[in-house]
Amino acid sequence: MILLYDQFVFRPVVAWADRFRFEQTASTERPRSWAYDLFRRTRLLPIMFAPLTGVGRLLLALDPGARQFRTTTKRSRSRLGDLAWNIFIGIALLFAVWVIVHYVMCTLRWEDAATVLGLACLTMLRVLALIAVASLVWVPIGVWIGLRPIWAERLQPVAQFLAAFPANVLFPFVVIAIVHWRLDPDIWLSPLMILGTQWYVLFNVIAGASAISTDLREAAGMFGVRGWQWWRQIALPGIFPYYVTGALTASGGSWNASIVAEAVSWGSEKLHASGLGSFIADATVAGDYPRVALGIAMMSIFVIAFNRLLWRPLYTFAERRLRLA
Amino acid sequence: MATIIETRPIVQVSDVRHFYGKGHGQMLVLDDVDLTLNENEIVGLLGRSGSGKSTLMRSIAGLIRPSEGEVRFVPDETGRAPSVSMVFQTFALFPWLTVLQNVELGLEAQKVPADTRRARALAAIDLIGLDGFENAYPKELSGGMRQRVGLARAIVVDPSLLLMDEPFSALDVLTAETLRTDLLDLWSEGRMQIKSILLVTHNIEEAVLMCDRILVFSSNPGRVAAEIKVDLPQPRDRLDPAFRALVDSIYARMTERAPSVPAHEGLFPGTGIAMVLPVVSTNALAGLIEEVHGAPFEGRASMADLADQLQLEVDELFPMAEALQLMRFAELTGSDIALAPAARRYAEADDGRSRSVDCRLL
Repeated sequence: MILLYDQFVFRPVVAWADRFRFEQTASTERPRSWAYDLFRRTRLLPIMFAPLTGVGRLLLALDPGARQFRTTTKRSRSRLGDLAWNIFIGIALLFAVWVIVHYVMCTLRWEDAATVLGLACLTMLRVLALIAVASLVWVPIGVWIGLRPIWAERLQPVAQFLAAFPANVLFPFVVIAIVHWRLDPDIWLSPLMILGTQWYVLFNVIAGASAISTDLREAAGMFGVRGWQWWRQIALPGIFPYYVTGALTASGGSWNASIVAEAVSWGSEKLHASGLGSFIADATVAGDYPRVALGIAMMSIFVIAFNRLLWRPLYTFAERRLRLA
Repeated sequence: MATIIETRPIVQVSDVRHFYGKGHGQMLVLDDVDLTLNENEIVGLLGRSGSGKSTLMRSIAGLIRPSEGEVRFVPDETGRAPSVSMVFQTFALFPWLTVLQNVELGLEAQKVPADTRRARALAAIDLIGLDGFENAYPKELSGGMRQRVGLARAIVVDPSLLLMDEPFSALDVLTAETLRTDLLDLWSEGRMQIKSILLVTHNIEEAVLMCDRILVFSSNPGRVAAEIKVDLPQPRDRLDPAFRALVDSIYARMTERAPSVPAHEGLFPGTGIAMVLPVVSTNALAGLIEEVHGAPFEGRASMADLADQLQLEVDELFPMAEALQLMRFAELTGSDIALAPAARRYAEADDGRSRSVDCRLL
């Protein structure tokens, strides 16, 4: 299934997308796809897609914004509209928060919230550590693959297979291993969280490495830049925005995965690692909805705070410093 | 001032052939190229786009290994192998490093200690005239300034051979001219440690202005079609008759057909159904015919003057001229283009007839 998908969908798209590379010097290796070459030579394909392009043109013709010219009066009116919309959202948000707090406070006290905060911090530490480990492993490999299109082509089906592989299948084996060797679940259940999401880091780093323009690579080669200097001054800044995307996606996925990965059972064996994920899982199983609500609210707050305080500033830094335009 | 200047060879390229692509679709890009680069000279590789000159330069730079043949670096008296440095057409500056860090790049790679590195980089930046911009980022600089940084980066490592891959083609005319004169000043005053420069260009006037020796490349596949020595004293004047004569003769050399194609008497070369027309717009062809027909050419123009008048590069003018020749609207003799009677009729007719003549031939 994956092989079919790779040959008929993925490779042609990659070969087609090569035309969008912003480069001045032609690279000698370009992605090739026999399916893409075949598509381009057929006459059937444009006919097949004609209805879609027709609909597209129709929509374009009907779009009201395209024909009207904005006047200044309209501008001030839309500003008022924006303000009204923001106020509405603000009120809705406050209302939602009030409902949640009210619901939770019916049965729980502030001490419970404090406990949950502590558990959330624990899970956060786990996520950070796992992202760091995954980065250390996959960034070098991703850069190596990204710089060699031949290898990227060869390893694509493998990577897709690994990414599609359901990580849950491995859970029982991990449980058995932990029980057998009497390992500490707090530490050893953690890798389960990153199992399915580490591929985001890999894929994004591969994309980032292949996006480093050929003339920059030639300049680096010309001046003999190697080793740690090459990583520090060329590869890492080059892939930085892509890496941030990958790490952000992976960490988000890991937070989600913590719900199933921190409290794992297999048969009669039950393993429990202390953290926010196991808290939510236990509360769900027990049907304790206020606790579930509290746990999920806490997780949302943490993820959003991460986003604002870590990933956003990194993006702005990348925008300011790492782009030429 | 009659000093004998040493001409020891630095690089020897022998029988280089290079293929692009793999399998049965591969193209021969370079065919049996032989050339020698000596000390104390600026050599120009002149050719149209796609003639393989950039590939040859990258083979000399060590970025590409040619499929066949050898690029040999001749060690100097002390036995050291020559070092090579390159200036890129697109500047190739790292956007996340300041000007100073960009220039220090090669020195850091050679493990030069930090303070020496800094001193040398500052001296190089001063030399190319960007004093004060050490902490600026490339995105804050104009095109000309970026290329100066590229040049500083290349010369700070004290290479024996400086390779320049169409260094001024991405700049506007005035900035390019300023950079050219600055580079020639640095070269003639001996303020750079460079022994030799290899300049790849598709601008004939730039080649004649700067180079001591010009290698004209033919395309498909790329090989050295001619080697021309330029004996004019520096600084060279574009309006000098000797300069213009040389430019004309190079135009003629570049429009020459390959000797393997026999020239029939009375027939334009290159006729036949199998001949592929260059891809040129009919509007451009019509414009060219009208231009040559009107004053001051009156039906016959030298290619160099035409290029000047129309502000065209070699790459743009030659395909149009060849298309006209293939369609029997013009004849290329030497470095001149002469309109055939059919073209004169076209130019003198009004719009209606022009269109019909167009359609008849295409």
